[in-house]
Amino acid sequence: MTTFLIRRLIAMIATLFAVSVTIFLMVRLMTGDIISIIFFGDEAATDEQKDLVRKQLGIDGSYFHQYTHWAGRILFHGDFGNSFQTGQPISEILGHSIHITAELIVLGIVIALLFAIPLGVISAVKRDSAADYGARLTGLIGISIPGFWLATLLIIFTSQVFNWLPPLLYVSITTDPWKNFTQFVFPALSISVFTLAIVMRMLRATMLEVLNLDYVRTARAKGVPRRTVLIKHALRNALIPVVTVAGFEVGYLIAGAAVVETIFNLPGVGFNLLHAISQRDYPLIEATTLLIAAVFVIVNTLVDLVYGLLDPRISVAD
Amino acid sequence: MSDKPSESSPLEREVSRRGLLAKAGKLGAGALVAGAVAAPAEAARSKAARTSAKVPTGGTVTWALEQDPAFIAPFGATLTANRWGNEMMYESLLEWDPKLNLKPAIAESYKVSGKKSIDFQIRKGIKFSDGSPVTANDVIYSFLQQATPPAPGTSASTSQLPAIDHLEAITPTSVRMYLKQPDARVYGYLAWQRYSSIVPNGIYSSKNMATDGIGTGPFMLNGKYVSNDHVNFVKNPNYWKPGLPYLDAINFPIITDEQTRLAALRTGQIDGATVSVDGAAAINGAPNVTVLHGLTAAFRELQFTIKPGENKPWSKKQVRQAINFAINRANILKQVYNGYGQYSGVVAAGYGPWTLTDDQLQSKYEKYDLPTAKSLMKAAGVSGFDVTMTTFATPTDFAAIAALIKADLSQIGINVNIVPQDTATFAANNSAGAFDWDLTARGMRGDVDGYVAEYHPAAAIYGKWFSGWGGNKQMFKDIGNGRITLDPAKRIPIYQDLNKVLMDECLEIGLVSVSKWQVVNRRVKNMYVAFTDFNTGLRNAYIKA
Repeated sequence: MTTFLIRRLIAMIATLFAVSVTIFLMVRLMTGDIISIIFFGDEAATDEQKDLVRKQLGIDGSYFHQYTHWAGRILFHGDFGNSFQTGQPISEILGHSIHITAELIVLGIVIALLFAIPLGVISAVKRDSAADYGARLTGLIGISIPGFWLATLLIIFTSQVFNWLPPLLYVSITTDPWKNFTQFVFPALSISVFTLAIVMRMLRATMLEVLNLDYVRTARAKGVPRRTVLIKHALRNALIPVVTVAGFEVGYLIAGAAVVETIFNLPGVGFNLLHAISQRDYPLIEATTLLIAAVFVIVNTLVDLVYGLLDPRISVAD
Repeated sequence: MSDKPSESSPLEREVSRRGLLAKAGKLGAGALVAGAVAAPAEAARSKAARTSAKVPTGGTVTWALEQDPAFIAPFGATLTANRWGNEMMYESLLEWDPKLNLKPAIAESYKVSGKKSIDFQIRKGIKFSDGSPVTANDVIYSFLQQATPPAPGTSASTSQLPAIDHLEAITPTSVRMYLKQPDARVYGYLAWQRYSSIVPNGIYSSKNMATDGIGTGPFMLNGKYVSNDHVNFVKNPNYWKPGLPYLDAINFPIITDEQTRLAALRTGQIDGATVSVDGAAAINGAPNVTVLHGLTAAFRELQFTIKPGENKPWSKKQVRQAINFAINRANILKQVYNGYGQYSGVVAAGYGPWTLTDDQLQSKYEKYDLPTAKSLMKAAGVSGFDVTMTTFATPTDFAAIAALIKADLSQIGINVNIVPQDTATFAANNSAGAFDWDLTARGMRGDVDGYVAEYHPAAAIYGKWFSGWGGNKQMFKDIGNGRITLDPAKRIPIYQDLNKVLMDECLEIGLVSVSKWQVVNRRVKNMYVAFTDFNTGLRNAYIKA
């Protein structure tokens, strides 16, 4: 286990290093930078003034110099720099936004699993029944509906029909749990439908496969109650690929949440990333991307560990 | 403008649902535009006469900002949204009324005291919101910060500074501003207020100005600005305009998605917001809101680069003139903006007396005249050509205008290839002169010089855009004289002449000025769409009981 963890840690560091170099170069290779944005429309601005601002923002040296300076500050001081646009420390911006996105993602995953698991099981157990068709149709719709479209629809629907909207300024869960829930439930629902559909379809397929395996038939033959067979024997094994998918989905949900966060006015990580890209706010883009990559890598490591718990046959070699 | 409000704003121009939806189809756009020009001034006069004596006071207005200010520090910001975030608390020595007439503000008077100096007398008894008096030292300190903006600002805004050399205190309540050379841009710079706020001496060392601040405006901060969330204000008890403000508080939540703003307006969660023309059409007719519109300094423009040795067809003046006459601006207004907006020259339409009138533009300088366009092309010896026109990918009106221009110019043999780009890419290429044609936008300027300075070889951008152009002595002379002529009476004729020269040269082709749309809850009165693109109307707004 220790060797496994060390190996994963090394892989994680290598991945994050590769991501940092890639994103560092990519943002700088995009046409246009923060200088062109802040001076746009200012015909009186001279090249000297632009160079001065470039120097003020620390984007005047070679790429190598800029990268080592940036990476050095992170490694040795834990300093991600300041946003070009707001001047705010990146750690402050991410500190504020990460728990918003985390809450959104967790709630989204919970909603997705809460519906996907029962639907997937029912669909598999009652194959070709009306319930199965209903669940499969739900899955098809879930895959087809873009999250941002559903989010917009929810906003329009609740405002037009109920003359009500979720709170539009962020309320933390500790300040007012109910208000916080009403604020997050619709955006979470919007981002959860795709995951719900994927997990439901995956679970249905794996459940169908597992239900036809010998050990399930044996258990039934031995007189184990149907409910126990389904939950303890079949579902537990069918969940293994589902865990993998759910793990991957966390990463996609963070990226996918950006537009939904904008629609529901939640200043989360994705919301900030979208704005940062359009404004060429290099430090914010780089730090946010690194954060998403780190979450992706960590979650997938956790998924690997959870495998072992779900299926004793799978164990991490020491 | 009188500070006393009428029942509805002096400049408020409400739109009926039917009017908004049907205007484009039922009215000739030309007639519509002609009517729009006169409307604000006439409305101002007639409605001001109906000013009610008793104005309800108190209450809070919640107004959604469509963009995050990034920070609310008064100096060194280039985003318009920065001013949205702090305009309720900061003022300058001068201000504009809604028709861009100069008015005293923190300075109760000023006089030109020498060829290169102006004296400002600070208003007697004026205080900052914390109760401290405004002194000459505060003014001097503020101008020092404008010249070298502290963080989070950058020196990007300093290109807007006129030729101010330094300031000196004459008395504790008066200052002398020394100029490097005579510079008429000073007045507009002060009155625009965007870069020229007056703050207490030394405030940057005691407060985090990114999120905090103290000014002399009608409101003061309530709490601190929270990025991507909100900035709130309460009434400034020390405000110098008697009886103002009427409101107790204004809250600005930041809501970037338009559908969300519209939904929040419907539910009454917010009292007002800026929306697009399509958003205005969608919500117009909702029982609890009023849709306002008004011209702002934003106009759309076609830019060319003329570089040495390239000998592109549009380096010939006749070809540029042909392009100008071949563009049907009335159709652009009708098709893209539901008939709302106005023709624009190279100075923003509605920019006081400094631009050509709408009538002059429609009937002469920007007349849609295909036969003349064809004959100009023929005279230039150009039968047609292919060209790439870059524009913004968003907002979508740029692509719509581009498509109409493409159709118009095909009639004189010009095949336009449209390339939409994101803002940063477009901005980078534009400022580097890396384009043939750009369909772009201009915004508000503190002084008319800001619209024309680029046509003078002394301008930084001239070499990148027009270095292959032969020049025009009259144009250069007008630009130079306009900048140094301090007397408006002498200055206006210079710009009237310059506008005509510019329209003849067609180095850039002004297209249309677009209307800005704001939706306001019916309980909020006295709001108007400000030409400056700020939300100045909120300073004097009130809530009808």
